[in-house]
Formats: sequence, structure tokens, C-alpha cells
Amino acid sequence: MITRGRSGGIFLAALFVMVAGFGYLLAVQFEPTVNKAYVVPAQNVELVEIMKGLERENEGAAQRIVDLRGQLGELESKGASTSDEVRVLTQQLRELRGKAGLAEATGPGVVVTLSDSSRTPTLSDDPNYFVIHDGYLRSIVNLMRRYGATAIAVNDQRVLGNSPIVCAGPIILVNSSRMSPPYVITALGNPEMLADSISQDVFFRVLEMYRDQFKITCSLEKKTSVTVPASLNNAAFKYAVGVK
Amino acid sequence: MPWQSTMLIFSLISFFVGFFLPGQARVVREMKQTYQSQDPKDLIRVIRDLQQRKQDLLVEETDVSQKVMQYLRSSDDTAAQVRQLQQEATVLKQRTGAIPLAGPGIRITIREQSSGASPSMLADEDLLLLLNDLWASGAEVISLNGIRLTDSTSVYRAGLNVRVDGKVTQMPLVVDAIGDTENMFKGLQIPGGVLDLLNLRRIGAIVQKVNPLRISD
Repeated sequence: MITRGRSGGIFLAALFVMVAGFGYLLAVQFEPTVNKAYVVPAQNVELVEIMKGLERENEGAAQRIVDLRGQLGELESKGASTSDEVRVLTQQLRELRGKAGLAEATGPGVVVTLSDSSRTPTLSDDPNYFVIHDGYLRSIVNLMRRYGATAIAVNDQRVLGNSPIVCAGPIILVNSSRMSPPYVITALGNPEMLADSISQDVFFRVLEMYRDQFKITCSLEKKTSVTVPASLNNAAFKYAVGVK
Repeated sequence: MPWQSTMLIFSLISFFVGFFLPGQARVVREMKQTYQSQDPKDLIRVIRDLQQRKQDLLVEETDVSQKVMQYLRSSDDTAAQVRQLQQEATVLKQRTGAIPLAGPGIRITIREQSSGASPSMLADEDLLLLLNDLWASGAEVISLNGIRLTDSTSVYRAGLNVRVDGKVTQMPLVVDAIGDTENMFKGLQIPGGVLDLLNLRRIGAIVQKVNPLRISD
């Protein structure tokens, strides 16, 4: 009877710990859901369908532009053999297109990879430290330019001087295109110079601290060859006109 | 309650905890990935941006398509080919900063508060956010204290100075932006936007519409 009473007490204590632990786990598990995030509003299904439909259309348009540019390049090459003037102008145009980011670029460079934390924040954590913000991408792009990058892309999007990097809640958009993590920021330039300078910059060190503490992904690699896609935007201005 | 019944209930609870928790974690993860759990306002914003992207791609597709047609038509006409190449070269020179530009736009004059116990200071992130908001709301060309921004331009604080494209310039900072004036103006006035952020930190920002605004090469 004494043995049974003692083991019963241990059992109740164990049960208490189990139930309390269960309650805690449930609270942690469902905490984000009770606010608002995971109650799926009815219209979201439709909005996601519209979003995906537009993305499919844009992918199709992007491919058609790449094909048309290829066709134009072939015509220009044929035309270049007809006269010296056309040949010189065609060469000049190719250089200008490269400078304007309208041509794919390949060469040595660096790749910075950022991604949200794999760890779920607990109740005591600030969830902001666990996700990659649009401002991080802007700062990394700015650092790459500062240390000599000649061409930059985020995932499949070429980033020019006028490319907006914005967010809509947790979704990051570059050139009005939705990005999915991991965010791979590729820069052409001197790999040693870029990697050494970026890794010593205060902003990058802060990101490395977040990586160690909050388990976000933050890496920097030197590459002997990287490819940055061409911008698919039209180069002409609507409002600005040339003046002498 | 008999001892066996307590054990049975306990076992059942343990079983259900073990059974449902991984499933719940998977559902939450999948919902995050499918974006169906997002705030509808965010999804609408994404859709607007994708529609804008569709428009931008259509402009480029139409333009390149017309160039291909023109080239095919002028295959034996060297003079026409030269004209077409020169036209595009001019557009690209404007884009890359080789030609001075003019057009309608806005001018933002930013002043820091240097007096008082805690002087305010414009941070790199503030400046990047301001420029980003201008590009996102229709700016075509921007200059900072007369220095035109190009694809390779970086901007950052260097002590009390601002470095733009490696050149040193001082506060106050005059940001000139040629483009869709109304949209840029509206974009800056959004509550909680960059101007509110600057004002909260006692950094003055005066926005004026200017037409024409001139930005040199």
C-alpha cells in the first residue's frame, strides 16, 4: 500500500508535468495561429489563383522577350556585314545594352544567400529577427555596389539602379516580381575585393550575428563564374527627355 | 477512479499528442508556403505589382517586336538600319547617364537637426528606403545634391558626410527625381511611410513639385 501510494504520487507528478508540457507545446504551436495568420480568409484562395495566373503570364512574356531579343541580335549581326557604319553602330549598341543591364553578364563574383530562420520563434522571441526583410536585400545590394559590383541580381531578377525592392507583409518583391526564399544575391566583380569588404562591413556582421543567434541563413561565397540575367524592362523614359 | 482507467486515459492523451503535433506542424508549414494564410491586403498588393510587371513586360515585348519588324523591312536599306541603331543608342545613352535629362519631378530637401542634446542623423537605411520608395512610385532618374544615380551607384553615410557614387557631399541633401510626379508625391505621403519615419526622428523633409527639373550627366 505504501509502495502503491508513493508510485501513485510519482505518477501524478509525471502526469502533471506531461499535461503542463502538453499545454505549453500547444500554446507555442498554436500561438501564431490565434492572432490572425492561419485563419484562411475565403477570398485568399481566389487571390492566390489570380497571383499565380499573373505569374504564369509574366513568365510567358519574359520568355517571349528573350526570344525576340535573340532574333533581333541575329538580324543585327547579319546587318553588320552590310556596311562599316552599321557594324560600328551595332558594336556600340551591344556595349550600351551591356552597360544598361539589358544583356546577360557572366564573370567572377560573389553570392550572398539569405533565408528565414528554420527555427520557430517561441513566445519570448521577437519574430522580426527570424525573417529576412526587404531592407536587408537593399543594404546588401548597396554594399555590393559600394565595393565594386558591376552587375547584380536577386534570384532571377536583374537589379538595376532603379529596381525597387519592396515588401507586402512577409512577401518580398523585386522588379514587381514575387521572390521566394532563399534570396540569392549574385554580384559580378572582383571576388576577393567584394568578399573581403562585405564580410568586414558592420551590416553583414549584424546579419551573421542573427544567423548565430536566430538561425537565419546568411552566407557569402566567392565564385570563379556567376551569371546575372538581363533586365527585361524597357530602357526608354516616359517623362525624362534628353537636353543639351 | 480505478488505476487501470487512469493509465488508459493517460496513454490515450500521450498517443494523441504524439499523433497530432507533427501533423499540425506540417499543416502550418504548408500553409505558409502556399501563401493562402497571408493577409488579403498583402496579396492584393502583390497582385497590383504583378499587374504592373505585366504592363512593363508588354511595353518591352512590343518595342522589341517592332524593332524586329523594322529590321526585316529595312534589310536592304542601310540608311534605315543606321537610323534605327542610332535611335536606340540615344535611348540607352539617356538611360546610362551619358546625356543630361529634364522633365517633371519632385525635389525633396532633407535637413538634420544638428542642435539640441540628441542631434538627429539620417541613416543609410533611411536614404535607401527613400530612394526605393521613389523608384517604386515612378521615378525615372534621381540625383542627390546634383550627383546622378546610376546602376552602380552606392549611397552611404561617411561620418557627417554622404558618399554618393564615391563622391563626398554634405547635408542638407537635395533629392531630385524626374518621373510620375503625382504618383511619387502620393507615394511619399503614405501614412507610416518614409517621410513620417524621418519626421518622427526629427529629420526635416520638404517636398516640392518642380517642372521642369534638370538632372545632368
